[in-house]
Amino acid sequence: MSPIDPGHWQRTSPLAILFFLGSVLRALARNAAQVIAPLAAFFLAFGGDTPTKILIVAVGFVLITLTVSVLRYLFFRFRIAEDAVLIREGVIKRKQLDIKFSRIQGINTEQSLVYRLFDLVTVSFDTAGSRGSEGSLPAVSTRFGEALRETLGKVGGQTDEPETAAAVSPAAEPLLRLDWRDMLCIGLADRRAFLLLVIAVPLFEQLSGDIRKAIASAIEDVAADIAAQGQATAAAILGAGLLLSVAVLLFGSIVAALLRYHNFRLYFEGGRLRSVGGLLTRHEAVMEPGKIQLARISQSLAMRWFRRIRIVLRQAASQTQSAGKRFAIPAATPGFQQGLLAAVLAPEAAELDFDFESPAIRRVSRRFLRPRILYLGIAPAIAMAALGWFEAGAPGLLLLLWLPAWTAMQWRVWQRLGWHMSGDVFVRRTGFLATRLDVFLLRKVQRVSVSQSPYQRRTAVATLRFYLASGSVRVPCLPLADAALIRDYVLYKVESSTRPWY
Amino acid sequence: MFENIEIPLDELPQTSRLDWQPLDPGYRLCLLVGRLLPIVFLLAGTTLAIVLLGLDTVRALLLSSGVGLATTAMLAWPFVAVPRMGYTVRDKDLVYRRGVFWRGVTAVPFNRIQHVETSSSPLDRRFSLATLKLFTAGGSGGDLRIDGLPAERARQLRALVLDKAGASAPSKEHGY
Repeated sequence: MSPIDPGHWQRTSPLAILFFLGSVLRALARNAAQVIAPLAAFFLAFGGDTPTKILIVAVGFVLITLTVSVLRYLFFRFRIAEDAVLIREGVIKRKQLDIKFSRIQGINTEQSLVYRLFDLVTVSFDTAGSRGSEGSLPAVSTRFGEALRETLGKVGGQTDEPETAAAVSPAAEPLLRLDWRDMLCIGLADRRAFLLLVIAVPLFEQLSGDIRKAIASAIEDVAADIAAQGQATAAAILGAGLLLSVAVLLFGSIVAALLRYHNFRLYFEGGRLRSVGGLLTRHEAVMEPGKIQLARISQSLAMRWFRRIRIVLRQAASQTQSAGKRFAIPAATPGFQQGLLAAVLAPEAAELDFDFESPAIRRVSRRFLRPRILYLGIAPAIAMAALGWFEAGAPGLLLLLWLPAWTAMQWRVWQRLGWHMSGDVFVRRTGFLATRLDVFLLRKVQRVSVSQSPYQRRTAVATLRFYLASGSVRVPCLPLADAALIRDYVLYKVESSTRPWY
Repeated sequence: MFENIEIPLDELPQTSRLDWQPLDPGYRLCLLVGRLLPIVFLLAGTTLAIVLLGLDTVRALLLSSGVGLATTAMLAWPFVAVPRMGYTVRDKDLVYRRGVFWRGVTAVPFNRIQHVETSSSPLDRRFSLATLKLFTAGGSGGDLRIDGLPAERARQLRALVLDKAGASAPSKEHGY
């Protein structure tokens, strides 16, 4: 018997209260400023000692959030109709949500530790033209989630595969499996680790006075010791401290990678991509290859050391949202993209080379370099050096070094910039230290533009820009004739295509 | 260059050689009128500055010549820019070009259009002009917008584009 009962309105498991509690707390955190004002009023206006008041506030807080969560759970009902998911929710402001199956682009499930104990999942739907994922069903049984996915696959998917049942069979061999070395790589390559460093410093400033005083006095003691031992030791200790903090950050980043991607497995079955992973909360994402607008294969410097690449598949973005929904494969060995893209972009991408150094990739015109070096290299170098000369004399001329540094940088950017096109697929390579390949099917293009700056007009080159539903892809400084030809060819492909772009 | 295609590339419909439809001639005047108010403010501000700050002759001359130059440029711009804008409707797409120094040509295939909008401001209506906007999927970089069309033409274009977009959409039962 299918767990999906199309006839009746259903409630989710009572554990969904946890989900609503989470969302209430998040909403509170977002509006923290508005909460503080009445709180402050309460503390000032009423008598009594502080501990009592804190107790009252705490109890009130717990009671209110719990009540709201329980109420929201009680008012949440859903029904899987023939062709749509119907959701009714809201205590005071009622919300009716009907999501047509055909509009659902992907189903993601998430399983936190508690849910895992009770075999429950939270199902959320990605839809076209909405901000983030639109509706979600908290705390439904795993079996229900899988049945729902199967039903949707039959209705909405454009897959020809007859045996969708195989999609849920656990025996299927994963396309990719990540181990602890990959976690290391994902963690180290994560740029957010360094952003954290920037945030951590002001955070330290806000530490409460006592702790700070204790730390400060400890540092002073240490500093006194260091001073006693001479400058070399001081520098060594300072360096060690810096290294230590970086190490802590990187460790945190690796732990984050482990939490999100532990035991990450990627499947391609029943015509759909599915990824599962996560240490405590288990994330499961599904993507239909037909919805892919753009595939980005990238390799940062850290990833190159580990011989790994990262693949992100992007779906259509809505008007209000700058980045569309994405399906990430955080690490894979180089060469993995070849088979994956050939499969998900089949049949069009079958015989294309998706290697970063593919010989098929063509560079753009060398004229790309000239205005950049002239206006952002030579001119500023001379201006800065002149200024430096007046201010500091001969050492000021060192600023002229800007020119070779900038030129080398632009040279590298130009070398990495390239494109490659087959009958149905366009590939653009960009990068400086990292390398990225953006791959899309020509029939997914929404509009094309060719533009020229005055300099480009004099030298007969042009910038070609493809607008996709997930963002735009720009190729600067192509020879004008090539740009026009590619544009005309892409328009021909789009206009003669009978297959849907979404 | 594309070895694996059988399509004769020379015979592709070319976007480079098109008969561009000009915008409404009244659009220049409309832009000009729209700029009058800011120009009046600019001139008044300059006069006030010279009188109130008591600038000496040289500075006053410098300032007023700068403002004069800017005003002339603002007034002349519509007459330079508008003739360089144009559009072409082909069987399967709409092509729009614009730009004096930085030039661009954008092509929007009808079978990618999500919806169409015409609008006209009060000033536009005085000159019976309208703006046509074509929306494609994805939030990237603004959608195609053609200002300064004759109102009647904008309506025709909207009907035409809707008709073409509806006829060529891959499948209509999808709800968006």
